[in-house]
Amino acid sequence: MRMMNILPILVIVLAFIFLAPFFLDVYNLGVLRETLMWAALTASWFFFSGLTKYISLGSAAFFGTGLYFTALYLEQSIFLKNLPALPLPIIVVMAGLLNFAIALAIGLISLRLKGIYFAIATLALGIACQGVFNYIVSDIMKTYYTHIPPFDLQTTYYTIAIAALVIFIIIYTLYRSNLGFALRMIGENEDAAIHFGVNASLTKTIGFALSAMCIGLMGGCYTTIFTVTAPTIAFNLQFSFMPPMMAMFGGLVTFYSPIIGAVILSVLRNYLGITFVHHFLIVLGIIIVIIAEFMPEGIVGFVRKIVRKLTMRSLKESEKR
Amino acid sequence: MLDIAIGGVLFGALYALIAVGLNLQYGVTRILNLAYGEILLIGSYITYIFFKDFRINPLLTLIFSGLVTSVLGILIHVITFRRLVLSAASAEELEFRSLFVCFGLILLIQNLLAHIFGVTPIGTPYLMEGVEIFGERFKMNTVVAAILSAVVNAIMYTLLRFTKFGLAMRATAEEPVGAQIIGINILKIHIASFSVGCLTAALAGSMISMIYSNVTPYTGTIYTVIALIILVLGGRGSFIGSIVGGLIIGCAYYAMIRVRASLADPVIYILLIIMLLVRPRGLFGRQ
Repeated sequence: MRMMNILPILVIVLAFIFLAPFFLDVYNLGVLRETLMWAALTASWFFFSGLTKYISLGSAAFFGTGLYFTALYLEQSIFLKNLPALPLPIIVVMAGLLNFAIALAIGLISLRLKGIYFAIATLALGIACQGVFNYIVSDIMKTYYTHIPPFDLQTTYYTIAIAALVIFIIIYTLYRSNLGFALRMIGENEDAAIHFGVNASLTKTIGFALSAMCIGLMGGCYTTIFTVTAPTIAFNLQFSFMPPMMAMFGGLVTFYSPIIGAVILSVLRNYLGITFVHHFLIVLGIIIVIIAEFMPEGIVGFVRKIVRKLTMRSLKESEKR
Repeated sequence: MLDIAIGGVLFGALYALIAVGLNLQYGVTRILNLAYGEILLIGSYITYIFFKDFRINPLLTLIFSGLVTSVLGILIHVITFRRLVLSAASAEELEFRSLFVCFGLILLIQNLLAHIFGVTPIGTPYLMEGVEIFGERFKMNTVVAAILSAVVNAIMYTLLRFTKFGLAMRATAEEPVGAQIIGINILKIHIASFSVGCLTAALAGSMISMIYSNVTPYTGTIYTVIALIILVLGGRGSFIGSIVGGLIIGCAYYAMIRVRASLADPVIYILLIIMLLVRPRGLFGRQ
């Protein structure tokens, strides 16, 4: 798609996101906030795992580390005065860098291995990180919860919206850069990519760490919606499982298809999933199985295929005439 | 020291029982069944209904829960994974798409269980009285679980080692193409090993509902992760590996619970990372 074609859509979406607090009520604004959060997580997940086909199940580790680091820092600096009070963006960037370092270390170890070992190492990382923060909270600080100073709805909304946009810009730039291209080559055929001079292990590790950093940034910003949090909330495994599911639902074809998947699923989850919790998730499970079986390119890929078929047919008919 | 060793072996035997099915499924079919923990929970819930509604001994319901889940395993493989195996262009694509099928299955099974049984923790407290082993007190049901694990593992070993069926399974695991050439119907072997894996998962699930009284529809993933860590530690597709790996994780876990319970998970993770660094194919894995 050319830039000129999507420019009007982009402007409308941006205007909607920035003006939403003026016309949406509290509930709908909350839904939009959560949708932006999921979209940013899914885009970050897609940048590494969607391109390289190395499946990371460790989003919860990075999201939770970002969230809990920020929460602990805010508690220590504002309530307990043990640490100097810093503006929120700086704390969040620190959380992102912490995630970058963790992901770099894990990536160096587990990305050398092909296949499912990476998925296992990242899935277990979420549980290990939860254990570490659990230890900090329960054994060192002798408590169960972490208190966070309350923010009003507008502040939390704009924090998350701006973070999501920053993450989209970062991910899009990386996606179009040489790094993104190299990652895609690795996903298509790793041996061939190495032959073309791609330093595969370095590229993979850096890509993984950058994606983890973005997830951590979003986690840090998501802290603002809580007033009290605990490691079991921050490291909930849904943060690991939802981004891949949303990305697969939308399709792993282009930059925007995972975001479309995230938006659809998050909106459905917030409107249908509230009234029919179990029914909705049961149906969603069946839909995910069907998509994995019959539409390996997701909803967007499926729609594209249909559109292509229709245009081909109309072209043929016009040729006949 | 002795008490930690005995407790570790008892725990480890249960973990070996949890892991053996996943290892068989992954070793033979090369499909990573992330919904393994959820299938295990189906076993727990079957035991729970029979115990709560009909007061039937949990050890007797093992037969029934095993039967139900092994049929379920066949159904899952035939309906979902078989098409993937036939249609996937490469091994990586199969791995990728089968993981997403598993995500769907996880959502489906978790929420079906939550819808039917609710989300309050359940358990089938049975054989709770203590027994003394070398001066240490353990709950009777942990000992029973360890014995069951030993029996199941012995049966599995005999099956894999001394029967024609087991030979076919091992051949398929090692060399799928070669096995096909010499006339083994590998699709049948895949279905069989998937079903046997689900059966042992259900047995482990029944034991878990007997020992811990905190089973909810959302605890399945914990057991999947334990089984996966043992799979990496012991080696992919290695039967002995899953037993030894289970015992190591059991001892480490039990020791950490004695020393500092909250650090148990990070320590297990460090074990996993060391294994990936030093010997990525696992203790008993083939190249």
